[in-house]
Amino acid sequence: MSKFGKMKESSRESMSAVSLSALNDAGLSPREVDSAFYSNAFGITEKQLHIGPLINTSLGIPEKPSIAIESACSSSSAAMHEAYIHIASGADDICLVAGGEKLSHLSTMEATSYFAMGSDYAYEAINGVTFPGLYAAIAVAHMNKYGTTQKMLASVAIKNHENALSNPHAHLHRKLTEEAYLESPVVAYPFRLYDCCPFSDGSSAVVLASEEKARELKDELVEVAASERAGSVATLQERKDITGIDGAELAGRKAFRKAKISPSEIDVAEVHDCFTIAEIIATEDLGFFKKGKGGEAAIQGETALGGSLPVNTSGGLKAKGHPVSATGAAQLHELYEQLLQKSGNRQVEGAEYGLAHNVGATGGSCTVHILKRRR
Amino acid sequence: MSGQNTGGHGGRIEVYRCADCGSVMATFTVVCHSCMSARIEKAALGGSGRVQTFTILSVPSEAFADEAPYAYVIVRLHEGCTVSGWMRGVGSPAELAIGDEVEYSGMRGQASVFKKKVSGG
Repeated sequence: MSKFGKMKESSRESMSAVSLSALNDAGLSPREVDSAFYSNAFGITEKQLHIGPLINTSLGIPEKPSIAIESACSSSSAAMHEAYIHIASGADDICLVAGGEKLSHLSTMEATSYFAMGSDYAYEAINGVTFPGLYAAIAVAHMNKYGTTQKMLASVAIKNHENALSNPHAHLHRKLTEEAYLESPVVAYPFRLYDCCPFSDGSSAVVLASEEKARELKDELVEVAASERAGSVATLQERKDITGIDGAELAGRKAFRKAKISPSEIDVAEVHDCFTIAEIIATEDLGFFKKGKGGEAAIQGETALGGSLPVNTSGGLKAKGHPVSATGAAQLHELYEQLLQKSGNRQVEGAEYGLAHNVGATGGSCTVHILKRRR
Repeated sequence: MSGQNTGGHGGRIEVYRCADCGSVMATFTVVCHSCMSARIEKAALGGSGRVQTFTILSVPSEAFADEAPYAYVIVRLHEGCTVSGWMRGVGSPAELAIGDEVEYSGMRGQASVFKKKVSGG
């Protein structure tokens, strides 16, 4: 993956570079790729659609099939799922997945307007709500129903900023104190600036191979033990309960069933923390903590490094950054390094199982992957 | 064109009603979410309801750039479905709470404007 933050390159250049680097790491030439799956949801802001053939051409494989997959903030985990299906079906042996985004050429207002297009525009954005506003409405409901506090929200941000300090790829390398959090400007009540992920540029890539092919390539492997997707009503107002995301709950249940493990067996998790409340509800939806107890778990350090379940060791979307289409693949990159014990200061010792939870918009699309260390 | 409030119903909120089971749905649909019937009719609502959740936007969206702070509300209408709304001039959480009674008061652009219900009204 690239360093997240502000990049000079276009998505096309950055995604090509990380793709080649991922293939090199796997010991492969681009020529060995059977199919490529790319995500670049906001490519239109760079006046470019149909990025697949451009990247394939830059990799020297213009003849290979490619497809671009858009699923808002869960685009590259959706692309990963499609690649998984291609390999599981026997159609392909080797698939390349890459996601990338460039947003820094947009003003905050422009970027906010593009992000709002991922909501139900004609019902939500038309009434003046922004993306932070929608998650803020979820937070207000969660605080009202379960007593979740502003300090619990702050604890998520502080932890993820701390984790990002030891991630060289992270966008924000800035220690956050509770005082600085509370002094930051209000964006959408109850969210302050530090409840929100930054607008980031960046790219990430994953190479997926059949078991037979993978064994020829490497001794240390990470297996995709489950790749599951599900959906929710896109429009918040139509949901029976907005203090959780039912699609994420469903994708999680399907993934645990497929991997034949329970939530307590996960050693490290990367969850979709576009806003602080999103990490809290993710840890509840996935069954790591009881409904309504995610905030308490966060403030007590259960989700910090050294806690019962380290969450977002990478710094999460909150501090590692959130280049929309790069996020899903970047979560998998973090788990890959964790499971191969390559995470340096943020290593979760002896991690065997990792889970990635990636959500599109306010949960209309949800992907859960479970990765397992193989020796 | 579909949307919560396109102005086509005398400024009232447009919803979808199942001709078979009577369910009312606030967002565009071609089937009933309760009975899967495809006999969907358009209807218009304009009543009052209770705030289910809300936020107060200090950083506004582009179309409301001159109006911040304001509230975005999700309102459970007494007529039986849940809609989105916009409330002018709400600047702090002390001014609005979940469960508050609000009433529909027309459009601003294509937004559905709600106001706090005056008690006894």
